[in-house]
Amino acid sequence: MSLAIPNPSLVPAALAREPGALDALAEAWLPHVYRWCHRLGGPSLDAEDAAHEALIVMCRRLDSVNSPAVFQSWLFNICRKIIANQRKRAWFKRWVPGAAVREQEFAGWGPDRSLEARRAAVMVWKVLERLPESQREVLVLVELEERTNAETAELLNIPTGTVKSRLRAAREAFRRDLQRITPHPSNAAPSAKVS
Amino acid sequence: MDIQKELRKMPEPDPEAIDRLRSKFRATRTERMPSKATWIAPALALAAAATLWVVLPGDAPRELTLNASGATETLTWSDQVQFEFSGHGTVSGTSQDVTVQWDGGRIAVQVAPNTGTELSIVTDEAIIQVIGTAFTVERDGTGVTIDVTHGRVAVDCVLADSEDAHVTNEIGTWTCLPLTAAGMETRADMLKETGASLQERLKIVNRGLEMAEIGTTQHGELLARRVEVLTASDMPAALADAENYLDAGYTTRKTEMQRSASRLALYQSCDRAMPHLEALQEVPSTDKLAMDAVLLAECLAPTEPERARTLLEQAVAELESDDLQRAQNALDGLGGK
Repeated sequence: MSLAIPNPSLVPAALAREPGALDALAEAWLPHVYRWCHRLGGPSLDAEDAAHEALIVMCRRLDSVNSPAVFQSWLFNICRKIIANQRKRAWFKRWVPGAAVREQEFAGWGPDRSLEARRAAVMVWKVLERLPESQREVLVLVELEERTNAETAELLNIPTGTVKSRLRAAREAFRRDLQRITPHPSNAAPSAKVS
Repeated sequence: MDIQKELRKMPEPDPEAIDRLRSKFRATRTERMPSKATWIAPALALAAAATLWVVLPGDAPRELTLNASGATETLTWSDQVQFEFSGHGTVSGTSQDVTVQWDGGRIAVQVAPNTGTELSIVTDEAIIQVIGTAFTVERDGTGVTIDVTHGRVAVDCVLADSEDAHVTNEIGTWTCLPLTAAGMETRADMLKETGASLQERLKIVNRGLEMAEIGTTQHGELLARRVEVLTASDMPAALADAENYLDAGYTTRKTEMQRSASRLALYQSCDRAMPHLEALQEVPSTDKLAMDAVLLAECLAPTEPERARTLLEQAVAELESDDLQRAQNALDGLGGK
């Protein structure tokens, strides 16, 4: 589900160091930043922690934004870098005794959600997490955030054709991996892809 | 499978988490923002962790940047997968499930057969999937060429060179076309240099023209290339393209297109060619050709013999061999000296 883009006038105001504008900008973008971290980070990433770090970096480095038009893409790039770093940290923790990786809890889910639904959710999340970063990003932005290919291309600073090809690869990999791990009678059949 | 529906099974961000984040962020902002120095230790720790992440053995997902300009480099990704490359891209995944995002250059892939290894190479123009084989992928301005040495691959081009965009389980070479007008223009030039058929060249130029925005230099350049190709196969269409080029106000090849239009129009009539031949008399002296004046004189002879004579007399001084003979004959026809 897509969120409304915050008031664009906040960016120039913050760049001009108007009083309170930086905090207003950060608060307006906070839900977006959290969503990106939550969806792109996967179940083993602490999305709250990553989003907090991203917002702090945003406040500290806003001066490096050349034009308000590139702000969204710039902020998304900060999130990507922080997510990539935290994912590596999360992976490393698996080799450190006693440092268990925190799995995100289904805090927003009430008791009405079945165990099966929770399992399905974890499987989808994990399949998404296994995709290469470039494919995961386009899948989340296009399928979950319902952005157009052109909007996604602008956000990722890549050509629209690249978005299309990555999206195609991502859909294919996601479908293949989900079918592979989903317990289903049809999956018992031998794979057609045998060399 | 409805991918969007599957993705929506994931838990939505928790509103309480967003509230917690907001409180945490406000608390941080009311304190002094941490200085860069306080980040050095965690940054160093992170760098160390990243280094360990690269060197530690095991089958956790990894990601490496491939960058070799000039010399060919080799990367053994796992016991099953080896790359030889000169160019740049990124390889990620596990030992048995590998994805290469290839940005440019040449990469040769060796995948051990019968190990269940899945490998995909993704470029803007194509996705190449393989199980147990050897092949190379070369990406440049003219598109992507996949050369399968042995084994099996599935090639999925965004724009294929042939009608069939999906080629599977065959040994051979496939080309995925570039996705931009500039790429099509480069490819058209490459095809000309390598002696490709007019039909092949026309197909690429037409694809480029579909992509190019009218009024841009790119569109003009592709139009000029189509004039060149069509001149040998469909002169009325070539004339129409040359005149479209001139009408659109493109400048980079204006004289060349004017000259092409004049010659193509002469196959129809002098009346059709005269505007172009007259325009060629106005071009800068460095771009002038004496033969343009001879052709104009031949058309003018029945109605304006004196002007035709003047043009021919001027041209004769600059012409040689057959062209000179032609001008001389025209002068003789006018009763000249």
